[in-house]
Amino acid sequence: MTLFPQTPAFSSSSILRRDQWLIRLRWFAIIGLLMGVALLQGISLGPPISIKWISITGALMILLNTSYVLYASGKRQFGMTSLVILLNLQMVVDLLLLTFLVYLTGGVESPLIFFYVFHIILASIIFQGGFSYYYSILVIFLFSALILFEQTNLVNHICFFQEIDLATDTRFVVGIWCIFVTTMVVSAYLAQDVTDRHRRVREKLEAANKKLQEINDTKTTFFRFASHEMKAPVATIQSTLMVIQDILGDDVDTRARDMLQRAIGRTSNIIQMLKDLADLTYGNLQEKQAFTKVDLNVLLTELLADTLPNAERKKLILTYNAPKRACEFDGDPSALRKVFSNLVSNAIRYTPEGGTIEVSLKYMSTFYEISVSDTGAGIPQSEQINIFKEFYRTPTAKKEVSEGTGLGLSIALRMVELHGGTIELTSIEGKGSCFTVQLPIGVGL
Amino acid sequence: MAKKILLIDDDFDLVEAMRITLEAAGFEVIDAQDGESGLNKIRSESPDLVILDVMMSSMDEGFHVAYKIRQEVAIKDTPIVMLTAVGNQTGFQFDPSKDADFLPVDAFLEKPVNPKNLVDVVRQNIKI
Repeated sequence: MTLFPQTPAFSSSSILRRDQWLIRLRWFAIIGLLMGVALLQGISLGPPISIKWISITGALMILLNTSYVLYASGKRQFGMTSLVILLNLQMVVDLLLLTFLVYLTGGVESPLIFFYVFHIILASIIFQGGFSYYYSILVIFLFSALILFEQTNLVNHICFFQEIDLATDTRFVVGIWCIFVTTMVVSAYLAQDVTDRHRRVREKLEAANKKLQEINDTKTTFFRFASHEMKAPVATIQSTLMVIQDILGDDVDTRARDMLQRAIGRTSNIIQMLKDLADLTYGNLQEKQAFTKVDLNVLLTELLADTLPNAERKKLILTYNAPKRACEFDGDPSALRKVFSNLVSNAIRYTPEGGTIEVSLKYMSTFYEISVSDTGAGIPQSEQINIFKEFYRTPTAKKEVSEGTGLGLSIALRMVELHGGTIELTSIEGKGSCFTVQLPIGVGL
Repeated sequence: MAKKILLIDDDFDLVEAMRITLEAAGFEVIDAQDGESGLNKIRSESPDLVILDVMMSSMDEGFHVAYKIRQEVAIKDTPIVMLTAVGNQTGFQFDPSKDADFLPVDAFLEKPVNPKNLVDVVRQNIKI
């Protein structure tokens, strides 16, 4: 599926469209110029030599614009660079011709100097980056040169409005009025065009974004539905196996009993995997509704009481450095419980008998810091960057403990991030690991 | 006389597995495949406890059945154990101690059902 049918970026097709737009605008400019010539002749304003050269400039523009049209339609395959050069060439020629017209209509006296503004706006629309600045420099240079040449008599100043009283001369007033109107209309058109382009691009992006969100929601819903549908029969298989195990009791030979036990273990793994996969989609739908006030101290105390039997079974010492205060936090209690339960059960799983696991909770005024450290095998430096990746299990982990989906830490990281927090790992091989979770207060989703 | 337990679940295999465990523990077991026939069996057979699956034909059929049981004067005191495979899958989380107000059931059992657990939960909730 193409989410961006027309790319708003700088591509050769978009440049070609801008080129065609510029050519269209130039036809309007030419029509305006010819109408101006007709008007000037009608009201007999300006020296005849000027009128003649203005007409010649108009004719030259027609010729040039026609050749631009032919060039653009004749050669279909354009490289980006050649198109950009072509456009710049057109703009520079336009500015040279405009400067010539300014010269013909009186230099500093010329009301046409307003028209320089359009070219700078045009440059900012057509090109990206700092082109409009380069063009403003070029315009300043051209106009300054013209003035300088006139001042130093390198070119003769043409006095366009000869021997008339400017304020009362109807012809002058009408001429200025026409140029004023043109300036206003063209400015409005160009400004509107910039805004419209901007809006269209934004709408396209918003639509694409919405579509992506919808696709993601559909995926999440499907995912959850599918994992439930798969979990139900596996759960029944396990229930059945457990009943069979129960019926058989001790009357069956050890091999058969082991096989049954392993089969139950396998189904547990599948169920855990399906639960984990569903947990990975956490936060994709509107889970923020589940946010409520949680006392992290209570949550950790309860969790550790639940996990204590598992630790004792492995003869591990499980300690909790609790703060002497309530630790209220805005979050999803079940997600937070999952995060810490993942970290603690990992620690229990990968710490050899007789080891120590220390859990601590600290209030740090802008955030809570929860750390889980163990005296386990530790994680080699080279593997530390991978352990939060989905399905990744360190080679040591795989060797030592057969169960585990490799999703636990990915889920924990995702859930912590949705609370605006971070998880950090410090580990020394052979000494142990320490996972530190920081949960900023007053942030969340 | 043996206590009578009604299993309402559309998963026939799970019903059979639970039946074996419960019968071995000395209970009489009857079953129904959907909410409607389950309600009828409660009315006609007055079981001592109902084990009810949440998701049958719809995501929450079990909840509706539970509400109907609690609304009918004759059967409203029947203990209900709700079976869920829901957990995190659909974003629901249950806690009978907190949610009892709006979920009118006595206990929850999560699938897969461990036989010992099943018997314990049934014994805890059945009225002697």
